[in-house]
Amino acid sequence: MSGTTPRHGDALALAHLVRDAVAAGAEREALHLRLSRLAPQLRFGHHQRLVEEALAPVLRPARSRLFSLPNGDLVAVSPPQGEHLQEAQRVLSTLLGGGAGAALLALPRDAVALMSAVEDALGLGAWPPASVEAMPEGFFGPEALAGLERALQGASLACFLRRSPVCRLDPGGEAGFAWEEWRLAWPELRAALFDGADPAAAPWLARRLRRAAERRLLAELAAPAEARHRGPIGLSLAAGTLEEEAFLRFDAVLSAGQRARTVVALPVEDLLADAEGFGFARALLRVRGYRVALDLAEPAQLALLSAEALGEDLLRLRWSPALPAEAALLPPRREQVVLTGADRAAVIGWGWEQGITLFEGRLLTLLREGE
Amino acid sequence: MSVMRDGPASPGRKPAALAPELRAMLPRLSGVAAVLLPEIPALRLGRRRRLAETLLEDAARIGGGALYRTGSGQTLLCGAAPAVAERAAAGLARLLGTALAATLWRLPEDAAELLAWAAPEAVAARPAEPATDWSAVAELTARLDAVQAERALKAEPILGPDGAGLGRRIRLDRATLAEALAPLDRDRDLLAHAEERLASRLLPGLGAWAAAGAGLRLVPLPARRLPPATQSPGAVGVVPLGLVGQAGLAAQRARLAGLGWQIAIAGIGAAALGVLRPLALPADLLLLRWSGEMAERAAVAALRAVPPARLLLTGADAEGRDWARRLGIGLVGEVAA
Repeated sequence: MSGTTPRHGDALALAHLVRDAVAAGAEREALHLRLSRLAPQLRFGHHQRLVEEALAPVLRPARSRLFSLPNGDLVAVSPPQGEHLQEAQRVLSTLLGGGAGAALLALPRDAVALMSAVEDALGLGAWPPASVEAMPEGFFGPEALAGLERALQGASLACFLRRSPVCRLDPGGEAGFAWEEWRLAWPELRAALFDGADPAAAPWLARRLRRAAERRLLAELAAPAEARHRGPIGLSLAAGTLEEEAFLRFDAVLSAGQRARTVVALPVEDLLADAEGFGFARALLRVRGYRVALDLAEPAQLALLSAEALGEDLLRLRWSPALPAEAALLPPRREQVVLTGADRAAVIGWGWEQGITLFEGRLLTLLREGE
Repeated sequence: MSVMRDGPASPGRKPAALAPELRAMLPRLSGVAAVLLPEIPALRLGRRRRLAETLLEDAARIGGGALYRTGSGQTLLCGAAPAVAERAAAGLARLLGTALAATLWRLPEDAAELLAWAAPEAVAARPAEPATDWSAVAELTARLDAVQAERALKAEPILGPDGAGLGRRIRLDRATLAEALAPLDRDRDLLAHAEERLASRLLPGLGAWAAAGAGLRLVPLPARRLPPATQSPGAVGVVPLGLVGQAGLAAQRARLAGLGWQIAIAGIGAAALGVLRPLALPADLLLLRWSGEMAERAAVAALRAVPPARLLLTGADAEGRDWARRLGIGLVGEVAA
């Protein structure tokens, strides 16, 4: 009798049915056979056949269903059908003895009793699983990830590299060049490689893809001829990228002086995803002599950081109209802040009001090109 | 040119004992130092040992000396200029936390100690870098969908600080997921993706269970799907801390509240508490992950502002249980001996 083979999925399917019946006010009758209370020898052989025969008429109506709970109990549920269920209850109580107990329940009235029967059946150490259901994953899934990672291995990312100056701007003073921020142009890279796939559909896979792209980028930046003539730069890298072989090679071609002129920004998102790993990456950068920055994706993330979180590091903060509302959360030493997205004079004006002097944005790019 | 004295690369050859080599070298060494990077759990993950070794490699380049990696997973720099060796040891202490500082021996003064340490050690090859298994990545969905729900889930009791039962948490079993992902299970992002996929697949059943019961009912919740509405207080969707960094959690919390659900953030360890303001996390409950560091000053200070009723401690041993009781925090899961 395959229908009475205990299936864990049944327990939750029954919970589901109870909930739906309650929500819809649909009347159902249920017969709960507490076979788990029977002596083991009564659960098999001809006793099982007797149960099967007694339940057969009950299960005839179209919307009837038999649930096998993980502890061996059976629950038959059917639309109201008069005598059948009561008859089955009487027969089974006699056959199995009073100890087993064949409880007759009605939904929605006895929903709580039935749910507690499900709970009992699950117990600790038994697992309530669920129906297998396809998960919409958009166009970006593991297969696309594997293909992209492979493609990135040999791709040159030079044409997707964007450089923008970070400048020190004091009110009334001269603009001074601080370093050049190098970053991958993700929108263009996506358009070129992803063929319409949206990594946002699977954010965790997108994080792994980011590391694959950064691995490739670092491999290009580690070319000694290229590294020798490089001025001060800023890179935004995932904390996990620092544990890649490519970072080791990149690190090895830099002199101590070049490392001190390189700002590496780690996303706060990584701190949340893996605080220990983030802490290791940050300590590594500090010990190796890099300048470290924390990269905030949005002003709301300011509130998440404790007063001690920044230490001596820089804070990269992107301008948005939501930023002024969070101004009270800016670090007290404003020289640690780099305000990015400074595309308009008003943004720089706001920064100055706050005591910020390091800026990055279109305005600074224009300024530098004009020099 | 690498200064690392790797052992034999072929597994068939017998590893060379370290002590005789050091003993032969010692008479030539005077006014130098040795630094030992011990085997510690924090360096077992990924390439962390390899990264820490860069400090010793730099020291060897600047201050001389030879590097040895041993079969027991330790790394020795021997024969470097003392000032350089001291700097390397200090760098390692900063990288790993002072409690795990490297050992520094001055030579020839500490030669006996160095040899005593080296007696059981043999030089070993650096483990080969495993190549990325692209097919395993591509097959991820099929592998995850083949994981049986019964094996993927674990049920745990939730206890109040007084030991009274408050309810139950059903969670995804990391070990089962890691098994399904192997050899990709060292990638935390893929593990998180696996949890998200399983939570999404199991949502109908888990959601129904949590929506219909009594007491606290904690179940894993996927980032973008909603469980059924409930009238019964105590249904709580659990999401990982990493989700806070992705857009939309605050909006998801508001939608869940409309359905009668609360939200809990799981996986908050001591390292996170050292840099985060827990009160700013968009959640009703915070699930703290126990480790000895949780009892240290920074973590306790971060928790001071949070009402204990909003906190639950997971993975506690006897020490963790005592700590939780002192702070009036409830527990999730059986208490490990």
